[in-house]
Amino acid sequence: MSLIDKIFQETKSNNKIALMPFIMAGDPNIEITIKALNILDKSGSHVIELGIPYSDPLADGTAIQSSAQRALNKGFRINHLFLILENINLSIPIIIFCYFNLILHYGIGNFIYKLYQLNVKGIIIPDLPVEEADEILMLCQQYNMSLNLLVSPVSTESRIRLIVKKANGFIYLVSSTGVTGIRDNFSDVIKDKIEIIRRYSNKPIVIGFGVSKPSHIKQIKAWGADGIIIGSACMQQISKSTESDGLDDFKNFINEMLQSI
Amino acid sequence: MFVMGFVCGQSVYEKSLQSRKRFLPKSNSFYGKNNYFGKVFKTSAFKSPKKSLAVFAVQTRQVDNLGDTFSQKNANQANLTQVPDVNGHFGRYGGQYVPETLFFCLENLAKCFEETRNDAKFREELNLLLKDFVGRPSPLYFAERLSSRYARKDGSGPRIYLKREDLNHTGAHKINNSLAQCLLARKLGKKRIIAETGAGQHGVATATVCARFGLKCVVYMGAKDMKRQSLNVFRMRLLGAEVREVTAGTGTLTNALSEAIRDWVTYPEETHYIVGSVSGPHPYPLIVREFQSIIGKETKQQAKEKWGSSPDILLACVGGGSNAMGLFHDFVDDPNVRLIGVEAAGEGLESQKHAATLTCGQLGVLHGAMSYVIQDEDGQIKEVHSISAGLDYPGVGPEHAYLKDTRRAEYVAVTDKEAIQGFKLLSRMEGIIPALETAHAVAYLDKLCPTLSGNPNIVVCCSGRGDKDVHTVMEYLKEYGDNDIHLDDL
Repeated sequence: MSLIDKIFQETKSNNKIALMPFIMAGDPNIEITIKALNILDKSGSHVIELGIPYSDPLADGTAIQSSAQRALNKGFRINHLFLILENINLSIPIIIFCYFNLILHYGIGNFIYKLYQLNVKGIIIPDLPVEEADEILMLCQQYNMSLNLLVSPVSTESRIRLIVKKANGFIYLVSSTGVTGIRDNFSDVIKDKIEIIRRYSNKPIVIGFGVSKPSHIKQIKAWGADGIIIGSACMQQISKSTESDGLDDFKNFINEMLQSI
Repeated sequence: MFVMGFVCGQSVYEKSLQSRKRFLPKSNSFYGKNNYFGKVFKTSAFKSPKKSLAVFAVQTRQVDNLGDTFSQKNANQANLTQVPDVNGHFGRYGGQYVPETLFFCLENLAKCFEETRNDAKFREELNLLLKDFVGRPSPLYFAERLSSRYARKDGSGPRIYLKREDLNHTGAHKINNSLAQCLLARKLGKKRIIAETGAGQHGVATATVCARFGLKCVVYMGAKDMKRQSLNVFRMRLLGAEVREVTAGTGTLTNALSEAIRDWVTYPEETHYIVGSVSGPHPYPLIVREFQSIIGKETKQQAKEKWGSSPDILLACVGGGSNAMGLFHDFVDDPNVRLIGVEAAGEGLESQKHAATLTCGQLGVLHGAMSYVIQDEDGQIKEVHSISAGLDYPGVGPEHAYLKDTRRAEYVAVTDKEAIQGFKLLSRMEGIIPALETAHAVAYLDKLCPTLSGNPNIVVCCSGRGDKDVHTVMEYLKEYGDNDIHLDDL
């Protein structure tokens, strides 16, 4: 059993769901990214999702788009990501959020191998559909990494069946149609989708896109999901910090979220 | 810098090949293709020591170096007319690299398109509208004075014809596709139409058909493009469309496209996205090709009537590549017809300020399809430049990438400056003011014609009219001087 699976099992047996904060590497700068990673490690979060800035993030709303743009404007290169990963020593697993073109350009095999060497436990590729995923899936299996595929509220049952069968990590269920970004509330469709996924698999289900409030977490937990990803809300906290402050707002925000899981 | 980037990319690529070989011992054909890619890059403009010669160097060199087993094998294997496959692949290009939410739309669209494309009633309605609303068929016009420019002393020389898409309603070929997709949208029961636009021609065409069918229309347009194509912005608004400014990135076509896709992901159920080019995820490259292929179909017919056979050479500009694909499609399986696509070399291929994707790009994924993409050494999409907003795009339709690799079509590039010359040339010699996009194709005649022998019939796709660009050209001439063209300066 993989480390991430173990974490999901543990949180479940404690009657909790896993908190998986997302942060964008290099925004506002690399030092703060490393600081934030260490904060998350100590906070009691369960898994960290680390985003690689991309020039053309199709699936992202304005918060994460501008976060990526800021990082790139400051000269973020993919080597900086490797540098960050080399220089941290965390007790909780990291998964990478990355658009497909960056992986393709680096060389698919090389990229997965590099992540494996840097102790990354999984990967999320928002623009890679299940039809095109076979090669990466094979490599991920070889290196014991999870390829976490996405399910959308408008995915048909036959597609969901295909996706959950192929995914070798958790199922990333997108909370609603649209791009990443903060939302007020979630539709019941999610509850139905969770049921459909459960029909075909007992892989962990993680909800993302728009999660930003304790009330969201309670609702998602009641619907029976195994974890949540908080992205845009985290980046809003981090991007306004400077080197001198201790990322206190971010720390408080994560603690508030942790209390509702 | 450019060369550095390439060298970097190359070595990484080769490493990646090695690792793939290790991991994927069975899929021979797969890295066979990659190898081919490596070669393309090695031999294309990147390695050319004199970048200024790159346009021609690419053509000749590639043929020299790549007349090898792979291309022969490829030519035998590839059935050029039977692409894409069911998942939208043209060879290794194309596909559907989009967020999961869009599959709902793409699957429905592909299904609806398959049901509709040969439906007699749909065809009948479309043909009637193309005739009475658009004004088809568009003429195939013999450009007599322009041809005489390239005549040899003995009076022989190429005969140049213009396929007059500029005479369509709204002034470009774009309406062929917008009209047909609007009928599809109606069939899908969608009430809201979105579109992206660069030069504004696709936006205007879409706004026009939306007005005709009473559909709500939202057009995404980059801030920079809105400024340089302000006339078209006003036209769209007159037609009742909402034009949304996109300030992200460079404020050009690529950003508008991303924003339109984001809109579609957000409202997938009620919205139909009318993609304007043969780019984007499957089934768009197929749908747009189908609806634009009327350009080539008519050309074939008209050529037969005028001189009894097919044209010898087809010439069209390529941004995303819809007018070129529309003209080429019916001739792809006829090896006697030479296909040439003209890209935008902007301020020159060595300047990094260009949009010559097929000439200088590398394998990548952009806006849902695998194709050539202009990107940096990390795979980040690069800023591109062309004086023509319609060609100012870092990607290109996947089928063009496929036609390039199988060497069925040739791709070349001309600069802003040359395009302006083409713009003035056609205005002066034929009384036709072309769009700046079209002017790229016209400008290439000066390079192409002196290399030809005999009396070949050349068809240039006159994809759009130039009213929208008059302002841009005026500004350009103000900045760089108005050197008069010399009519016999060849």
